[in-house]
Amino acid sequence: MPNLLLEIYNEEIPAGYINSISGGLYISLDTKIKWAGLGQIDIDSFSTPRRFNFFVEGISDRAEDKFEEIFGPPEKAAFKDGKPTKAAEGFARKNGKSVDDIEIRDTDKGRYCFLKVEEKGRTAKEILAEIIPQAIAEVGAPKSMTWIPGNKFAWPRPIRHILALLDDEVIEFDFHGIPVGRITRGHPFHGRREIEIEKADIDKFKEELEKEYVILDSEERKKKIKGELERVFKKEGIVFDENKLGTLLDEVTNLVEWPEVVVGEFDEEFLELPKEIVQAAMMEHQRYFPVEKEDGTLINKFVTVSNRPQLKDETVERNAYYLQTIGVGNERVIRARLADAKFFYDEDRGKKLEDYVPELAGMVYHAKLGSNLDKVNRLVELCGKIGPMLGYDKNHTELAERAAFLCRADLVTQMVGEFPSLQGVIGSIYAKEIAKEEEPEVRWAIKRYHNYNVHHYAPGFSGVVANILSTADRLDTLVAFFAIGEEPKGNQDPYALRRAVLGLLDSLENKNVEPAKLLVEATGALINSVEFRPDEVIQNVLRFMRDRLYVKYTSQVYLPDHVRSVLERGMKYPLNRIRPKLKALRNLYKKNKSDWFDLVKSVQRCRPGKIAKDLEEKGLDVNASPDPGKFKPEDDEEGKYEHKLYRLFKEVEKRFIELTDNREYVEAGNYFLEKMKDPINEFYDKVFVNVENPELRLNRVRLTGAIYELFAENFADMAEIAGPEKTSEQ
Amino acid sequence: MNFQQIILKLTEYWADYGCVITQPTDIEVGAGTFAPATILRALGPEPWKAAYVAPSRRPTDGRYGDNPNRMQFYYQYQVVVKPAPEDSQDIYLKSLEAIGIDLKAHDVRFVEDDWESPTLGASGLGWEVWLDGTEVSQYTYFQQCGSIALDPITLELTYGLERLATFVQGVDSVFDLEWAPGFSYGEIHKETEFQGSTYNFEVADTEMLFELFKLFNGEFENLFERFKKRDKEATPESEDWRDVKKDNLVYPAYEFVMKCSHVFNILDARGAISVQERAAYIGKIRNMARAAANMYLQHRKDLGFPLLKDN
Repeated sequence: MPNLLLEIYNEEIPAGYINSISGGLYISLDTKIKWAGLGQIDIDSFSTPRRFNFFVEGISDRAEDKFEEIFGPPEKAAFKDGKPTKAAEGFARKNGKSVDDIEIRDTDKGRYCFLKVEEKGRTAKEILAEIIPQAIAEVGAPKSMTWIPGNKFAWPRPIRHILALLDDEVIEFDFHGIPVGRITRGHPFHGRREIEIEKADIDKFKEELEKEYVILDSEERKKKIKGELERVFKKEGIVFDENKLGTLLDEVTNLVEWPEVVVGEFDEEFLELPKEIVQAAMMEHQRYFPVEKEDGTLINKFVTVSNRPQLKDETVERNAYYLQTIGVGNERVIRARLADAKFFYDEDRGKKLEDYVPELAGMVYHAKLGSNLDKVNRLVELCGKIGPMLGYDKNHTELAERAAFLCRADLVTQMVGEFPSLQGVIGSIYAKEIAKEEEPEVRWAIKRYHNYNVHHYAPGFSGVVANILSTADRLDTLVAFFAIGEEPKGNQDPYALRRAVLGLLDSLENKNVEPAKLLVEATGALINSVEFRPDEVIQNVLRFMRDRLYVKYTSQVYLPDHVRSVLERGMKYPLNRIRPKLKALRNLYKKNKSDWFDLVKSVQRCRPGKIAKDLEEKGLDVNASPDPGKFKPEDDEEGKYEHKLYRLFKEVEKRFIELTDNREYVEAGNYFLEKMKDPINEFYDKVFVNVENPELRLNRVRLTGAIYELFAENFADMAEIAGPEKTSEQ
Repeated sequence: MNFQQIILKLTEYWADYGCVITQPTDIEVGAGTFAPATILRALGPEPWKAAYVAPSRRPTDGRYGDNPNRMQFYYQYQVVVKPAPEDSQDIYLKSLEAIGIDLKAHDVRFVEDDWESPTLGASGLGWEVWLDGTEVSQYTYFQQCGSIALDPITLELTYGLERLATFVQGVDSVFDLEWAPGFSYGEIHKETEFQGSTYNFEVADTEMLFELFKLFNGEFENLFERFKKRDKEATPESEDWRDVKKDNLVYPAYEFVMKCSHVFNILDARGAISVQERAAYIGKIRNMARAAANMYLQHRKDLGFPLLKDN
């Protein structure tokens, strides 16, 4: 069984694409090879910025033969007097057979000609020549380019050649005219340009490339970098902690074919800058590793991973000298960047943070929504309004207003202009540096406002101020973009409103406040600057929230019909009731199926139906309270049950609302079932709702409707609940 | 190697490669890309190879000569090759060797950089080229110019001459570079930086600039209107062909695009353009660039894409 070795050799692919392209190619090849019947293979995959490699040990050398039976013309047409006609000859010829091979068989439709045709399994080489181009063509990347004249084929960067070997044979195929053969290349600057590979042997291939300064396996490159980092840290007397490197290690691994670590130094005076700034200067643009001590402070050194190997034909001294040169060059770069950062930092701090706020007037938030200062003013107003509504005290509310005032100030600082990713961080650093009087909660809220690293959370800080601010921000964002008609459509969500609403729902889930009330405040803050219809926007945002909640809860353990029944009316009430209701429904449903369906049926029976609709169409108010004075007299056969159900309803209503207000929904459900099931059935058995007398009819509809509404408003709209036949266990 | 030697060596290298050394454009541009030798020539099927120094103006980057690496006026070395050669990276690296950089001794990196010029409606994919961490070139495979998708693809190499020279000479500040024996970069440009920054940031008459923008834009529109009204049926065989040709003045038209772009850049540095207006101005220039690109393509088509014939 032969081995397969494949290499797609391209110019430097962005580090962030490498794993996904390699993974995509792997899946494509794996599926196609197996589908083609070349065996249950295992593919090894490797990648560097310049190449994607795949190796399969022991692929079948051909696919299995296949047999097929082909229907032909009816016997009557194919043979006349035992002799084959033109039809028979044509049928045989078309399938590469002779007339003698034709069999006649009985079928439902009569006697017909048949041919047995065997399809020879094709060779692996033939199949792979088809599969490989398909697999490459299938794989996409976020951003690709064309480069071949007259050809639209796109890849993130130009592919220069493809190596495709089945044992020692080249798998020949055409792929947009790109050379396919047995040639690979070493390190782009230090290895040989053309290396001929004799056969598909991964160990030899790796060895060959290593001689040419390419470490094919990214895990090996990563290990090398880590090992050298450890050595550097040890030399400084610092325990190396991989976790502090974040994603930089993976990224750097995919930037080089041969990593060689170089250490550089910078002036100690730069350590006076806040750590985040020094780190950003090193990591963001230059991809340098900062050297961080166990206590979290930095030392004045950095580590860069170069792509320049120790060359074999140079002396150790010479190689060391070159590495030192590289270090010096990089030192010059970081010195310039840190000098810039320090300049901006000093300049920025010449003013107080609050002094920047007016400048936000010159920075547009959105063309239709005014400037960033307008946004800040809305947030301040909104924080003041919603703080108490969320259940927080005056002190916290005032701090939130202050945080809202300052939270976008850093947008106009020079430092954020230089390091956009530090937005928010700069705000909180400056809040400390140039607004020392700010409360810690305010500074924390500014930091949180920009969602910066959660692990920077310092215990002891309350999240209250941050919570008010972020709630206000999300409310404003949602209302504002809905007001200008920029709600998400399909996959389009340019203002990340889905994320905003999820954040908002998370924080409101435990709050005892009606979302509509908060939205009223948010529209109020916006109404003077934008023209829109507040009621419509509030309804649309509520529906948007409801839809997100539906997705959220149905992706958890809750059944879709339960979720619908609760959300149908639930958006009118504080969201802290939704999960308890869902839990209770689930609990009732799980505990005793027959009780559950009794409850569902009892409530559903009371639901205003066609009769109510007809009355409504006549302009009658079916939702008004039933009037006991308008039932039949107590001693009447029907009146007896009317009065009985009415009295019971009044009694149950009080207790049911008490229980649901206390969010004791299981108890409420059981209580309702126990009290109401029999009387409701009894009522419908004995009382004819659809009577001639319109007044009587209306009052009976009002009575049952009130019972239904009691349950729907305070617990769940049972019309949404599926009957036993539709319910499936989850 | 001093500053002018680097320019000379690069010129010699790319001339040997077969480039037309077109010389700088005589209108202010923000980058070498804006020159007709790049942005127009990248359009259409005709092959093209050119190299030139591109004196470039970026008013917002002015720092009064105080910052060692940022200037409102600087020099790029621009190379364009269409179609992009297959061994372009090797050819580029050899140009670094031509100016005395020993690639063995340095860390060379091709770092992802997707380039885009919203004003030109141009974009491309490629890299920044780093030498020991210093970005010395932009390396771009153009994909779009004047909002038109390109085929064949043009390779654009832009050397930041000052960056490259500080790397070669091992100095920290641009102003310490040796330009020619006995003359430093600072002696030639320190004062131009101070004055340029002062003018751009503090003095430039914004009313005049707004007026200029309007005038330049107006003249462009005149030329574009003329192009739109030309006799579309006429062919080189037509009797009045010479007169018809006078209706597509793409080169003068494109010059007004460059002028508008530069005026806009000063207004921007001057802080005279609000954020909302900014997008509108950029849109205006982009539309002009798109119109000029179409005029250029029509013009070359009228000529029968003459540069195709040698290939």
